[in-house]
Amino acid sequence: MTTTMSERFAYLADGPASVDGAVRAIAPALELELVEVAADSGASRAFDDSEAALHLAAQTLGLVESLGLTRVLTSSDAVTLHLRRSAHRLAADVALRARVNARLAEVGAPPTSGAVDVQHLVWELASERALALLHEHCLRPLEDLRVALLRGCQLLRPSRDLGASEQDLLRPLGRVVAACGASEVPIESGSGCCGAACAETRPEIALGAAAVPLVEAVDADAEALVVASSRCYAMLRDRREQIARNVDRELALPVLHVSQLVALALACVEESCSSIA
Amino acid sequence: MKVSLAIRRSQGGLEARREQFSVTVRAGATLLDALDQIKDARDDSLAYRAACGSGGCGACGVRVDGRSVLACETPVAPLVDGGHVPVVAPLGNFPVIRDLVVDMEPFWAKHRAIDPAPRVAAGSGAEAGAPDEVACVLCGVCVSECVSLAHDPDFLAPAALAIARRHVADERESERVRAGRLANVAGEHGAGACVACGLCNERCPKGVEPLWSIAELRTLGPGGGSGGAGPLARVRGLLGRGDRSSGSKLLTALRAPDDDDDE
Repeated sequence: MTTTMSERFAYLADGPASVDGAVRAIAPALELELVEVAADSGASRAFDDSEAALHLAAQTLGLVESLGLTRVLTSSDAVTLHLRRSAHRLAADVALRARVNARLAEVGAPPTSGAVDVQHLVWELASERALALLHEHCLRPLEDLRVALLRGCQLLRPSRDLGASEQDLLRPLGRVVAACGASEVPIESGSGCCGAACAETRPEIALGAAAVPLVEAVDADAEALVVASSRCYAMLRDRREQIARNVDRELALPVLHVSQLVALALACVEESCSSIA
Repeated sequence: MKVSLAIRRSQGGLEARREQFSVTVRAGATLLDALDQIKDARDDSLAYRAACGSGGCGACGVRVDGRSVLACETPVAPLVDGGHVPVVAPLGNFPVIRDLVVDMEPFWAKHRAIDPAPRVAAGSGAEAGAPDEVACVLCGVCVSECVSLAHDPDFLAPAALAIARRHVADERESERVRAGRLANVAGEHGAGACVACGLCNERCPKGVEPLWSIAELRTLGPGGGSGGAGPLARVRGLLGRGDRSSGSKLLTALRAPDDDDDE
């Protein structure tokens, strides 16, 4: 049996309830200690209100630091990019950090140093440590399952802000899927975009973009589409009927967040996947 | 070194076909060198665009295995590693004229639409600082990759929006001119149509980051966090903005007057 120290994270439960449930369900087997932090990361404002988004990120990071934690775990690509970029800016720019921390002080929020490591769930799942545990606890290898992958654009790009090469950022989801025993069905749009960022402002663009991976996955005879980001999951699950109508196709393909795939493989909780279509 | 390329060729609206060419190039050759060699030694009807050969003019944009690049800055050896035959195709999101040559007119129309010239009085001095967007060579690589443009051909797209942000940040321009610029990029096909996929930043051969330029325009624009105020009034505009808060104390504080922001 593998014996490792638990990995302790501040956990932002920022995805749909079904994803959150799956993350919590798989955490014990993968020795992830999740300290829930209820905070608005500001990611939803990052492209429309960058100043407020930065302050909200700083507030979140300061809260994490005040708990004695140095790492954040999230299931959202947008939150990952926004918090990583914000942390880097705040750590690197003394004047910016002083200005933002002054604002935090006004509302009694703890300051941030910016020295917080923001991790996406799929990156942690693809670590050697977690993969070893996944292999060890995989009670129900998904050997017959053929899945297409959507990696989440803000988990790939801009790579400069994410701190790794795009090539390296492409790998984690496939590694986790392989560890679960499932096989990947390649699709061209696997590193593409689900359109979620403009689902409200320009829904026709979002629906058009979202259709691409679903159509490709169906055409490739995949049995499910596995997504790394809870944001992509929500977009593709909640708007699937609209997406299908928009392209006049039947797109009755299950969409799984990676946490749900892992939960299936670990056979640790059926209800975490109850929303799978 | 021997290299083989599969080039997507088309002419006059006829269906495109792939044609494979093999040539010998010197060590350290670029993709443009290989294309030149193919044209010189194999097929002089091959059409592609190139000029300076040193990454300065932006003429030689193409896609290699689906990834948009400047041919003159792309070493060919890694592309053919292990005997791989890369597919060379014209830029995406552009009408194709012939082979690797695309019609840039839609690109230039959008460039004109954002009013690309600085509107400054004589003697205003130099542009302050060096905004990242200055490095743009108008090659169209970011436009080729743009997801939003694939679904909305009228989207202004990252190159024009990046140039717009450059001028919006130019403090030599008047508030009136700046407001006009923000209005130009605020419509249905403007900055709000970006899906924020980040491909523009990732592929730009000059390190320009249109994604963050677009975020800035959205923040400064009429629907954004600063309520349409220009950069000089940006902080004040943000602080004085109407109700977008979720009720948090922090956002309330951000809207409070700040004596340090005198302009």
